[in-house]
Amino acid sequence: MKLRHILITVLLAVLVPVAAAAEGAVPQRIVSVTPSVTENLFALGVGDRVVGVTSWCTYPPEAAERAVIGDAFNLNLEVLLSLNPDLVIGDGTMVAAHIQQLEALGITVATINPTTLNEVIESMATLGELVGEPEAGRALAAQMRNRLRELTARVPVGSSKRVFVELWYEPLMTAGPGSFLHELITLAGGENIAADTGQPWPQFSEELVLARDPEIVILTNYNREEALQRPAWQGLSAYKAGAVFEVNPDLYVRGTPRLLDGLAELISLIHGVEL
Amino acid sequence: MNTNRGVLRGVVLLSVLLVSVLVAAAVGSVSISPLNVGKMLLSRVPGISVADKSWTEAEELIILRVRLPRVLLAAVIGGGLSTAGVLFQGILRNPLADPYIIGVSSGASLGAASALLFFIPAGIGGYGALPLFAFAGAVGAVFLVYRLGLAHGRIQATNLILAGVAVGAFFTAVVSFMMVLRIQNLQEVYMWLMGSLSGRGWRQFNTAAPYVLAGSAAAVLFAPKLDVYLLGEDTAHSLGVDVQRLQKQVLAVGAFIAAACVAVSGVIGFVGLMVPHAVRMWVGAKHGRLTVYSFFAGAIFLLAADTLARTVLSPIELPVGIVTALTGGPFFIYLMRRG
Amino acid sequence: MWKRIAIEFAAVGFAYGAKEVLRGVSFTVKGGQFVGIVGPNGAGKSTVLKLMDRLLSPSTGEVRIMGRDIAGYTLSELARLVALIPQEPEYFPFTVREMVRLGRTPYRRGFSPFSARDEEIVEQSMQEAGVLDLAERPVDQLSGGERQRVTLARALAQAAPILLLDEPTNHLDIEHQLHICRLLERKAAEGMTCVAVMHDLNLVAAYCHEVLVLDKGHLVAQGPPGDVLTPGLVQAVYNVRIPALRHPVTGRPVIAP
Repeated sequence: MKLRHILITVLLAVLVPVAAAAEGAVPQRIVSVTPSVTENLFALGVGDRVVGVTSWCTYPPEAAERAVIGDAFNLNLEVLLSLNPDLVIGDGTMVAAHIQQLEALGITVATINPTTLNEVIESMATLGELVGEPEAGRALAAQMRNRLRELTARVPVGSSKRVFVELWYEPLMTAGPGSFLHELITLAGGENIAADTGQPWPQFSEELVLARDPEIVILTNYNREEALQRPAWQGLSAYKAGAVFEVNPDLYVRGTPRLLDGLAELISLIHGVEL
Repeated sequence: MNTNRGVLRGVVLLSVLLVSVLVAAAVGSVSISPLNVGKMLLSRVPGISVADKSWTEAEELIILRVRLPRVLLAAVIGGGLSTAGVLFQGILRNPLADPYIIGVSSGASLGAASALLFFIPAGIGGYGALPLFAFAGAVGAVFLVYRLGLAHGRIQATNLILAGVAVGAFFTAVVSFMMVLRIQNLQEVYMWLMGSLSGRGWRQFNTAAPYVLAGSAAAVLFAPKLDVYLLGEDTAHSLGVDVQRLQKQVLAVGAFIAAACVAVSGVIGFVGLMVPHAVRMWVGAKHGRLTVYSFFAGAIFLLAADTLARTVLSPIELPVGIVTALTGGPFFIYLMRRG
Repeated sequence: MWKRIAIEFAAVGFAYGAKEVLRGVSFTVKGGQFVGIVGPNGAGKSTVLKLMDRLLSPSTGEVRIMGRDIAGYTLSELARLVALIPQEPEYFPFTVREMVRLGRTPYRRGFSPFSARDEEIVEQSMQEAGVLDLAERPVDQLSGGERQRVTLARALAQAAPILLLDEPTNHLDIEHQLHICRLLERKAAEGMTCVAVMHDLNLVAAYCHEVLVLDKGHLVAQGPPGDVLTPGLVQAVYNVRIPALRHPVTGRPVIAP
């Protein structure tokens, strides 16, 4: 974590003067290739400088009004170029081929790829530097740190619950270490029954779900009705206690300030605490 | 088909191809006036200077750096896959053979998937080396199929096809297995497997075009011998054709062209299977005409398919492999009803 | 009509893997003869034919064409000496003329255009085989008999002094069978050596100058049909009893139950 902090600072020390020298000005026409980046740009207050977004960029509502350039995998170069961007920002899902293509066409491309909550918080500062709003970036980061502190203080000590989070049913997929979901569950005082899978998005065995008997089941696909009907799952503690919940996945998979909303929701669902 | 009518059809085909290239360059997600497109292209021809540049720099970038290379690449790959299809259908004496039948696609997929999922993340070779990995995989698979398909040191068409199916199934399974292990890079692999020209520019064109064009030119040279070969292996031998050597050469050239195509575009299906059929119905089975005209027709076909792929749901781009596959079904139904 | 030895087998043996197909086969075929190769199934008849065109190479002994070891010829040279009509030729959508033209392959290089002489030979071959009026028809639209004649025309266009045929009269009605046999008889008279593997003993008896009888990989008899196709031999080789019958006009043997 400390090392990462240093690395990001070093990166900034290099990026910012380079960017400033190359551009000579603050980026005015920004294209985002990732929903999380779009959200964060608006959160930083530079939403009016965002000229292009992906077809998945649903939040905030104003983002949906910007020109659509496809998505991280199917990037429509023509539309992107016609927007005359001076900065393109994406995350780790951005395809290397596209990055190469864009740079070959003389467009500045930056990728921000946080994988933990702390990295997300620090990336706000990075993003702020990239778009010429360092103050806003640092302020947002500080705000998030504070909120995180407050939320984790509300987690009752010593009352852990076994949690299963379902990303998909056929095949059964859950979230493991390396994913935001797993981290949030742990921060919220839950015990992810898939903690030993070692992968962020593993396929999981239904038998293991039954064997490990989660006390809370979180569904991210708006499939509660279908899930409640599964015959084998009726015996789970979660089902008996009526602790099967549907959540908005966008709060849990995107590296944005809304992760803290997700954390709050989890704390509330797991411990019954009103937040 | 007498010579004059045949040559005329060839001229028609070539003209249609040139027009298609120009039309495709003028059409896209961003609408740019065809007049400007024409001027932009002309201004790049050495010696011609165009007065009154009424287009923006972004538009020039779009046409010359994004659309034009993609259009040319589509033409070259469409032509290459079709020519490879002609070669394989001829040498295996099987009208259902496609350029991927002896392991090219599964081998290339394995090479590309290995690169995307393991080598490149581990720092072995940059992203630019992806076509090399794919090509190496294709060549390796073909070699394996060839060895398996030999019986008593001679190539047997049936054995070869069976070996191709076996190796293909195995390699595909390995790729699926790898994708389960490395599920986070799934999308990149899928994108590659589906066959797409999205994001391909001059770099990919310069990588693949020389080989595809060279291979396709070589394919034409096989034409007279392939005509004789169609009569049967024993007959061909008795007419002075070294059958074993011809088989090795044709398979090698065909696999080479197909591998070069797949290496930059992924697996685009149906082009190599359908175009030779259609052209054969139009100009006959003599391979001289068949190889050349299949190249032109294939170029036109893939050009049209890719243009559709990038405009019909704009700004979303369909993988071109889906468009070609959609045309496959009706085409074969048509063939069935005709024959 | 020259009487040179066109084909010679000198103690030829052939084994396919561990299986011995031919053993110690020796014979000569003189130029201008129409020779029939007969024998029960599995006797090795097709193998003999394939050895004559170097589709197979002998395991022991030597095969000589025009006095030279067959292995010493280049493929091109051999193609100008020996033409082969295999048992199951394949057809593709060519026209008759296109297919017969392919018979000129040994005399052409790659894409070189057809000479006037080439076209003349093609016309002549189609005429001789009786398919000239079908010249522009696609081969896959013709009947079995017509296709057989087209293949014959193709082989004639090759203008080779030796013509090998593997079961040329199978699946044909009697009109076409006789047509082909008469054609081969005529070509032999003109100097072409014709060697045909045939199942029909009567056709062999009626038209061939010489018969080679193979049984289980051995050459059991060689000579004119009248001397070779006796009831005694037929019984020994084919295991059937037939009376001794002779054609009332030609005096050649007739094989019937």
